[in-house]
Amino acid sequence: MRRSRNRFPSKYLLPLLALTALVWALPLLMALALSFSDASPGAPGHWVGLQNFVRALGDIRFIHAFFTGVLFAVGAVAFNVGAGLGLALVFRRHEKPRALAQVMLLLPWVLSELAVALIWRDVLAQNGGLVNALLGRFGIGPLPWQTHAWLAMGSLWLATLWQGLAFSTMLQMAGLASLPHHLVHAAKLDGADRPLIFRAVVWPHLRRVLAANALLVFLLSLVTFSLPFALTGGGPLFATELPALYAYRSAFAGNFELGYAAAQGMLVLVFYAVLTALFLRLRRRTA
Amino acid sequence: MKTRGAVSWVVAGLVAVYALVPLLWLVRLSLTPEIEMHEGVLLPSALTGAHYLDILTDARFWRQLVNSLVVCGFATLLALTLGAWGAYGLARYRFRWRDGLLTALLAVHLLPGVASMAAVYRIAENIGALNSLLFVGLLKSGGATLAVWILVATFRNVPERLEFAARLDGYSRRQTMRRVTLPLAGPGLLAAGLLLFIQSWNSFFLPFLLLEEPHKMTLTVGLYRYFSEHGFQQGHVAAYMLLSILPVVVLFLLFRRRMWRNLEI
Repeated sequence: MRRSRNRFPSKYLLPLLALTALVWALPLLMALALSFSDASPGAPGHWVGLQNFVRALGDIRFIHAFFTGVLFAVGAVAFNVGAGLGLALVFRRHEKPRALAQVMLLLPWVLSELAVALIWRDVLAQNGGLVNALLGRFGIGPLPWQTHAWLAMGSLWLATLWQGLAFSTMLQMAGLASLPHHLVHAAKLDGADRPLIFRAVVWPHLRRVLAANALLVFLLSLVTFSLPFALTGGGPLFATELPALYAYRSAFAGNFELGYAAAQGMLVLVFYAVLTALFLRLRRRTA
Repeated sequence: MKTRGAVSWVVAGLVAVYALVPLLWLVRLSLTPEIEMHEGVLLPSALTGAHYLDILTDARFWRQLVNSLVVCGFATLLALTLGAWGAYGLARYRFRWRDGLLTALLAVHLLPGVASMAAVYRIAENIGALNSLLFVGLLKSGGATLAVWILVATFRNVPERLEFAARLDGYSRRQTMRRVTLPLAGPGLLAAGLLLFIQSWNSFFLPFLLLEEPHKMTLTVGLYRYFSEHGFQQGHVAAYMLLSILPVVVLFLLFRRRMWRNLEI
């Protein structure tokens, strides 16, 4: 009576796949085409071959934005994943404080990145900001959060930790919860001491969760737009101009070069693909 | 064990302070008279509701609120419908590339907006969809590929036997779907809808590129515009911000238990 359940259910999946193609794939293909043109808003542009890519790789501002993005992303990984693992370890066996912490962490997580940026702009404002007012009580400061390059980067890290900690903590909690307890018990019965259990059983498991978490935070941080856009404005000078901000400015503020911005986006995407491929390969080898 | 319990309470307290203090500061700013803003005191000598009043009597604010509801409502409904429909197929059928397809649907969410930014603008320009709320809603319904993950798990938890039983008792396919499957999948549908709604409410980059006219902006874009025009009036900006994040904060408080599990997809 019933038809086989071992076939591709096109009736159910085609609408979703069509939407995915329309919303995700089509813009990407179109961006690829644009990256070979000198298009600008309002003008279709002409084919210019690899010119945009050659230009980007020789554009000191693009290279700088890229490595600034890497720096931001590395810091975000260190702080978010580190704090996430720390919290997961602290709350491992304590349900009530864990529930409190989860609710608190989720509160910033549900806000828009733009709101997060503007909130931290207020908290870290040089005059009349909360942090400088508090530090002033101890005779410190005022710290120039907006005009000092490392402090500006620090304000991005603080804001991204505030919003992103829920995600990393959740991943690490799930990782600890899925620890192979039977292996730990077996190792104990066989007389292994704690360092050995950690090295042989816990660490191989933990490492995979940490690596996945690090990759996700890295990829998402590298291309964040709203934080540098609204919190630091990319400043002072170009100290916090991340790749998405420079690409946006290339296309919509300044020279209005859609094609050049598309090429920048493609280069970031290539980096994404290489990094993810390396990650998956490494994972397969250690598995 | 006892001391470790105390430590974890202290840490939870610190987490709460870290999470709440910036928000409380925002509340404080929104209630402080502009004239006292830069005095570096922690608490103002008097509180004022004038900032809220100014914004609530601003027609643009209400317009942008409606725009946000239009975009989010459209995006959420479309994504939830297509997402649930697709997820049902993924949950009930076994075919060769099923797991690969699920992974691919999740992976598209890692695609950076910066890669497609120029193209999205160009498409909108070509089809005359600049300043179109529905176009932004359509783009945001791309969240369906993420919602699928919640929904597949949901439909797997609805026992197929119940559907068979309903069919044997004479329900049509449609009746079975409407009276048996969907009600049982209710909590999952709610979770997915919540995620979709909050994501599209919060989205800034694409709406900011595409919605240039003030009366076509969503609330998040309007917030940025308000900030760039009235940045010197910190109290007003803070009030605008609090009003614009109020809906997601309320949703969060109503469904906070569900959300942590949402994160775990």
